[in-house]
Formats: sequence, structure tokens, C-alpha cells
Amino acid sequence: MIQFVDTSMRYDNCVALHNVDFEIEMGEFVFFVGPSGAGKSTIMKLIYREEKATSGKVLVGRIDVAKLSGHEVPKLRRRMGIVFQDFKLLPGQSAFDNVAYVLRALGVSPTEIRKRVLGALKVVGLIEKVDATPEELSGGEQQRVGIARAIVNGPAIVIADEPTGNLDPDSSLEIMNLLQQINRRGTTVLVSTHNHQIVNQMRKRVIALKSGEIVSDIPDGAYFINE
Amino acid sequence: MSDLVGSLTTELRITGRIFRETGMGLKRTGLMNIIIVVIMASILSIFGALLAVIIEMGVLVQNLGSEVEISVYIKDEANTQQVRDEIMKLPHIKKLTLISKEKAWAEMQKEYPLPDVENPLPDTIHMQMTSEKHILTTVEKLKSLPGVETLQYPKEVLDKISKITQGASIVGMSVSFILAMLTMFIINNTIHLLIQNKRREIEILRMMGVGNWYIRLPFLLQGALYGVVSALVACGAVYFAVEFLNQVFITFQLQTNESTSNIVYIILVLMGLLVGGGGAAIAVRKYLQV
Ligand SMILES: Nc1ncnc2c1ncn2[C@@H]1O[C@H](COP(=O)(O)OP(=O)(O)OP(=O)(O)O)[C@@H](O)[C@H]1O
Ligand SMILES: [Mg+2]
Repeated sequence: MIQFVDTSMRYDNCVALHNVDFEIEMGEFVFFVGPSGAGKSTIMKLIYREEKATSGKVLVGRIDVAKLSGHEVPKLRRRMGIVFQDFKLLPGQSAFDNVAYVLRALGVSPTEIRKRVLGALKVVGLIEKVDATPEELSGGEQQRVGIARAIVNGPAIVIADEPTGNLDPDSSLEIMNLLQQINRRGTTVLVSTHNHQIVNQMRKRVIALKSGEIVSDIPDGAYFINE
Repeated sequence: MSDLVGSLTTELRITGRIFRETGMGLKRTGLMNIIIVVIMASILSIFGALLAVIIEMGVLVQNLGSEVEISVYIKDEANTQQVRDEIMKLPHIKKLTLISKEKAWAEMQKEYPLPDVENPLPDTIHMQMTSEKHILTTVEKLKSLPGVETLQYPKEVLDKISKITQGASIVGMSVSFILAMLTMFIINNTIHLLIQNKRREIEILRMMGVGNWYIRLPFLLQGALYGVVSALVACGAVYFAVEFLNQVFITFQLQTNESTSNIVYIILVLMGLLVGGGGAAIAVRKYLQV
């Protein structure tokens, strides 16, 4: 369960979120939409504790993330998988190594790494490209590697901030379908996007933001906001 | 039990990865590694040599000081034995001899043809201290003793020696401090560049919940490694310098202290660790938010 309770976030001189309240159950799929600067990325950063709310609370699984110590934040993040708009893959390293990178840092055994990485690459449909480097992959394929990396540790929540922002419409749809597929396996999935078409098509819960406030929260919504 | 073994092997694997990351950092730093070690080793060698000289001078001064003789002239009306017993109670005395005025006079008469006048000499105590640093305090105490008429010791020589040692220490330490700052600055910059270079890895590790120390340690280890390697090179340089010094000293019938080099080696390695690790730590603190 993720819960924002009267949460506000202000940067030096600008209010990014203003008294935001919402609740997300485990296993949900939620889109965050809204014009540029609406506060979508801010919400995600608050959830994985890259930022701390200036007032109000952010609860993840009943834990007030603002109260976590520097030592506990990594533990929180190990239960999440984060997908980046610009993929953030390591250049010159194979898909396998990219997905294995964090597991190695966590001290997972080689046999276990092999099992989990191949499993994750299978889920994203890249099992035949384990040895390809990012330079040899299309944008959509690179993002699949990014998603494989996000799910390889079996996270409870996958957070994707504009995962299709750098992709063409076809690849975008594929990536969204992949996220939906991951959601069907029980993982909570949070996606921010500007892609109206896909949002309208997928009929998921849509939280629409504008100027740091929630303007609508519809269970099987479409994207009504005009940007 | 198997849980314990499991977590132990996990820790071991993580440690192995940290060393690997350190190795990769060194590889990325390339030629700069050598430049840093050369600069740092040179600086540490200078520091080590200065330190050896300062320590040696200290030893020399102490030896000289323990040769310095204080002559205490005792009042005619005082009880010489009593005064001597009182002086014997003072600490750090190496040697004390009492020369009675009769004996002194007899010897003087033997050497010089003196007229037969009444003995003008006082009873005298000659004493040596264990170290130069006890001379002045002892002199002060002696002056306040009632039976002491006056005393004599090579004041100017001692003053000069202590001024030279002090001067050398201050100059040496300030030069070393400036050089240490310079080294720290270079290492700080190198690690800063490396952190920028590894920005993507760092971000991935952070976002995926890898511990802060795993991310920081390779940089700190790299800095510390520069320090240790440079210090070892500098130890070699100091070793040869001391050997050379010994050759020179033999002609003056002097000898360097063996423990001096050992102290210098230990201090060099500690300094290397401090400056290398410190420079890296400053960069990590400043440029690596985890
Ligand atoms: N680090 C920061 N420092 C200062 N202001 C910031 C910072 N990050 C975000 N903001 C401001 O907070 C507001 C919300 O930003 P946020 O990134 O959450 O918007 P967004 O909905 O993700 O926009 P986009 O669709 O362009 O990604 C914006 O006005 C932005 O300028
Ligand atoms: Mg954003």
C-alpha cells in the first residue's frame, strides 16, 4: 500500500506538490498524467525517497519513508524496481551484465544471478539477445533491458517515470503492455506518461495532476486533461 | 548455521566486488595513477627526509645535552655535604661529582706555580643531566638552594641548539603541511573526475538499493591505495638517504639512530593513508550524494 497524506513538496521557490492525498493498493496499475511540471516525477521521487516531503506523509507499506535513516533507504529501494526514461544502461556491457550488475553488487551467488537474469530477460522477451550491448539494441529493446533490471530482484513495486518518453509509438505500446503483464503477476506498477493514446486505450486507474494538485482520479480512466 | 555461512559468503562476494570496482576505478584513471603516485611519493620522501633530520637532530641535541656540565659553586659557610645531599634529591641526574676546595686547590698548585696564599676556591659540584631538556629546570632549582653561591653552564650553546631544532621543526612541518594539502587537492580532483565518470553506475546502484558503503568504498580504497603505494616508495627513498647519511656520519664518528628510520617509515605510511584516504573522502563527501 502506498499512501500520500496531505503531502506537499516545495523546492527552493516553487511548489511541486500541494496537499496531495491518494492511496494505492498493492497490485494496482496506476498512470500519473498531467502537463509538464505538474508534479509527476516529484511523486515518484517521494515514493523511492529520492526527495523528502516538506509536509504531510508518504507511506509505503505502512512505513513513513521520511523517517527512514540513510541506512534504511537502500532496503526500501530493494523492494522497488525503477525504470528510467533514458534507460540508463551501461554502455559496452551485454544485456546480461546490465541486468546482473546490481545483483552482483548485492552479493548474490553466480548461479542464482544466472537463473534470475535469464528469467527476467525471458519475461521481457529478450532471451535471445543476452549478449547484445545497448549499442546493438533498438530503443524499445534497451527499455526492455531496463525493465528486466527493474524486476530482477522481484520487487513489490515497479516505478516507471515516462518509460516511453524516448520511444516511437509501436515500441511505446509494447513497453506498456509489458508493464501490464508484469502487473498481472501481482506487482504494483506506477507509470507516469504523456502518451494520451495509450492511457486512453489501456483503461487503468489514472491520477491526473496539474500544478502540483490532483485534478482527477478515475479507476478505469481516460486522459481528459488538455495540456 | 547454513544461514550464517550463506550470509558470510554473501559478504565475501560483496567484498570481492568492492575490490573489483576499485580496480576498475584505477583502470579508468589510467596514466593519472602514475602521476599521482610520483607526486605523492616525492612529497612523502621530502617529508620523510625532513622528519628523519628533525628526529636525528633531537637525538643529537639530547646526546650533547647529556654531556653538558653544570658547575655548582657552594657557599663557604654552607655545609657542603648537606648541599650535595639536597642536590642529589633532584631528578634526572646522570652524574654528580663533588670536588672539595682543598683538592681543587692542590691540583691547581700542581699545574701552576702559585704563591702561597689562602685557598680562594669554593667547593664545587660538577653534574650532568640525562637530557638537555632537564638542564634549565634543574638550573632554576639549583639557584634557589640556600647553600649555592653561583653556578655555571654553557647557556648560549644550549639556547642556540634549541632554537635550531625548533626552527627546523617549524619550517619542516609547515612545508610538509603545504605539500600534504597539495597532494590532497590532486587526489580530491582525481576522485571527483572518477565520480563524474561513474555517475551512471552510481545512480543505478543507488536507485536499486545497493548500500551506501558499497558505492563509497571503492573511491576511498583507491585514495588510500595511492597513499600506501606512495609511502612505500618514499620509505625506499628515505632508506637510501639514511644509508648515505650514515656514510657521511662515519667520517664524523657519528651514527644515525636505527629506530629513527623505523619511526619515519611508520609515520610515512600513516601520512600516506591519511592524505590519500582523506583526499578521496573529501571528494566522496562533496560530490557523491548517496
Ligand atoms: N530539483 C528541483 N529543484 C527545483 N525545482 C524542481 C526540481 N525538480 C522539480 N522541480 C519543479 O517542481 C515542479 C514539478 O516537477 P516534476 O518534475 O515533478 O514535474 P513533471 O510532472 O514530472 O514534469 P515532466 O512531465 O516535464 O516530467 C516543476 O515546476 C519543476 O520545475
Ligand atoms: Mg517528470
